[in-house]
Amino acid sequence: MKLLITTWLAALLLMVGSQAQANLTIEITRGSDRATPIAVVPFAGGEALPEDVAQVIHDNLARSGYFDPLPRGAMMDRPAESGEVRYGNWKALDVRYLVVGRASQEGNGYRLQFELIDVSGERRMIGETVTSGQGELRAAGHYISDEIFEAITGIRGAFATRIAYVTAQGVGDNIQYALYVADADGRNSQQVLSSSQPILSPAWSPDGSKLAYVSFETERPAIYIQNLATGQRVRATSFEGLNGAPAWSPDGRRLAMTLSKDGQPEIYIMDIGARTFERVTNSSSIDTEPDWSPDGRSLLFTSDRSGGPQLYRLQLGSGEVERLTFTGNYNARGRFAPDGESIFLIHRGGNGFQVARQELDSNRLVVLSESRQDESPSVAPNGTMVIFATQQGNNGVLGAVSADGRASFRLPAAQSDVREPAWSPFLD
Amino acid sequence: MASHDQRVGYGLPTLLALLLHLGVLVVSVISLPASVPEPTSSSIVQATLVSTETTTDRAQRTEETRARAEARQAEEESQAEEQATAEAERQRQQEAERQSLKEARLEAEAEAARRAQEAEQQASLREQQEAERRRQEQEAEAQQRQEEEARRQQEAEAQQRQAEEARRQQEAEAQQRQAEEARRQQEAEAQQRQAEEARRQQEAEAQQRQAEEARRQQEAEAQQRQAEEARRQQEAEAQQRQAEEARRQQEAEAQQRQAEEARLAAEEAEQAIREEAAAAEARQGQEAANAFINLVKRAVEQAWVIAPNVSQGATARVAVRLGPSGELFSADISQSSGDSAFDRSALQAVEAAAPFAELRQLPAPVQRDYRQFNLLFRPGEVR
Repeated sequence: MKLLITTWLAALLLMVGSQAQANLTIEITRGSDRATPIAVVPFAGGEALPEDVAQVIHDNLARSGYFDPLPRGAMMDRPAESGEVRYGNWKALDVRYLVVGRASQEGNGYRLQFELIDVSGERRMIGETVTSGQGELRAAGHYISDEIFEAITGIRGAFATRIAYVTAQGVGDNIQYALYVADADGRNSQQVLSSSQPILSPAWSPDGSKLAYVSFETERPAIYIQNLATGQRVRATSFEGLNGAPAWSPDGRRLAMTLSKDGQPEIYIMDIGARTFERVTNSSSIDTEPDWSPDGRSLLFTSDRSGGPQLYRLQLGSGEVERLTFTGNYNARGRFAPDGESIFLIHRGGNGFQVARQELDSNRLVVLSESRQDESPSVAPNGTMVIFATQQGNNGVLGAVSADGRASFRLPAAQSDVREPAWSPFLD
Repeated sequence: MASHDQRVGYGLPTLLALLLHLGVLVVSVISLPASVPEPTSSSIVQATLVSTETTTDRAQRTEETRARAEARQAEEESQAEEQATAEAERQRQQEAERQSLKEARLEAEAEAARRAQEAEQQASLREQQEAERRRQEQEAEAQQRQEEEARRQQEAEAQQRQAEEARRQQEAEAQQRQAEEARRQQEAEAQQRQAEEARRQQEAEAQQRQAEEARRQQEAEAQQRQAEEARRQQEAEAQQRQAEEARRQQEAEAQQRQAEEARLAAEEAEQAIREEAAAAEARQGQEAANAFINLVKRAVEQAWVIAPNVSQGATARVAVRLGPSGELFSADISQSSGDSAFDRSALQAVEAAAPFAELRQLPAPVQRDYRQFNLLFRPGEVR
């Protein structure tokens, strides 16, 4: 009898136990929001090249705010391909991803071979051979950075894009204004236009081939459209009064802009091909700084119709206008995120003028930048970063901040007093 | 002070009045003989008294006097002298009359002065008495006031003393309270330390118990192995015996049955031992398993780097299989979050957290049960 009971009890316990094991689920609810540790090993043979491509990649990933690249000094070995990787070494450094590669000269250009490795999974994720021409090594580095960024995050990289900005050099009446285009990291800048009169509000066409901007070269503001490849340009508007803040429609066929030809500054849409104008706002207050929603169906703009500047959204189909910002008494220069679900803007709060993001469903406004005199935010085409102009001493500089505010940095610029940055679309 | 003034005020005039009256009296007394040229006063007094009495009496006396004078002068002087004497007498009479009038007036005046003096004396006495009374009253009042003052002062002092006393008491109480508080805090700390100590001791004991348990288990296993060994030996012997018996072909069946029965009994006993051990192990297993689950959870959470662009509500399930030493055999997404970066971050967290060598601390029969489990990645709180 005792035997029977003991047997039965043991069987029951075992059964309960094994049943629990079959469904055993451990919930993991906490994690670290630190940037992902990655290591970009200097490319084998890279010392002979004029540019350190691995360093370009390292810097790009660090600036994105998504990654925390391992300093080269901490690396125990420098494998050149996945087969040479001793995973134990990298796991000991808690590195999750590893970039290795080789660089060599080939003809008039270079040959770059790289691999991205998932260290903890001990898997090679991507590998590619890239050839680049003379003087295109940095561009190749940006391209590889984009590939790595997308492979890991699932988000298309925007390292190989460009930025446009305006500089002012000189003092007093001798100020020379210039319009520049540079790589997204601020390097490799090229002058597009130079003028003794102010240049304002550069805007990239959706295909990245043209820039619209405002120039005062005729002593009166006028909107020009310039082809970057050929340098050819046309004057789009030169009405009496204000001609400002051009913004391309997503299809590239129209320009929204601010004109005061009928009195107050109001927003108009110009059909570029037909050269026709349609006034879309009608209020007794100032309406300006239009930006197209990614779907092209609405315009974001700044208006002081409530007293101070606030952001409004105009539905182009119905003409319905809705106020979007309610936090504080100054919200201006709105720009849509590429997914259209949030906007970036300049918000004035207790710390001055700062770049902020507002989710459109919750209307929650979050200040992103740490500087105090920010203006002209422009969003990267993948929505992960915002570039803006700010002041460093008496000098205008470019700053950038990640869309979640975790990472921010200053962009190096070869020129002094930089302003009015505009981030290009993806350039294919 | 006031009473003193008043005493001076009444005393001095009274004295002066007395002196004045005395002076008047003296002057009047002194001036009387000066104004009377007559050397004898007795005759004048007599004359005065006569003149004031009845005329007849006076006339008689005058007659008598004249008779006596005539008798005396008749011998010595003439009629003329008589006439002169009469004239002088008349003059003296007139003088005496004037004198007596004056005296009466003076007397009256003196009387009046005396009365006045008396009245004044009485008045001054009354005043003095009054003053005395008032002084006494004032003194009484002053005394009362002083007493009142003294009483008030005493009361004030008493109050002050009481207040002082109360303050001292409060201070003393506050000090006591502080001391009490400090003592309580020390006690609380001491208790905390004791609790900490107790907890450490319990942990140490728990470890010891586990170690002992493991030792017992090993012993049990050793015993089991020995029993098995014995069993095998018995079997071998039985077989040997069977072979021998078969060869001999004597009492084969009987012996064979006996041997069979012995073997069955041994087997049953061994079975019971084994089952009992298994039940005990299962119980221990549950406890050890909980510790193991917590350990896995902590290790994986620590290793999980959540991608910055994770969408809200993303959830991924990873099926984990471990080797006998806790090494990672496989980690696979059994339920994707739909975000490959998120799925990979979950896999990497498991891979970075492995191996889970603590598996070997579980009781041997339970180890197998924990070599396979699921991890559900659901970012609730991000550090």
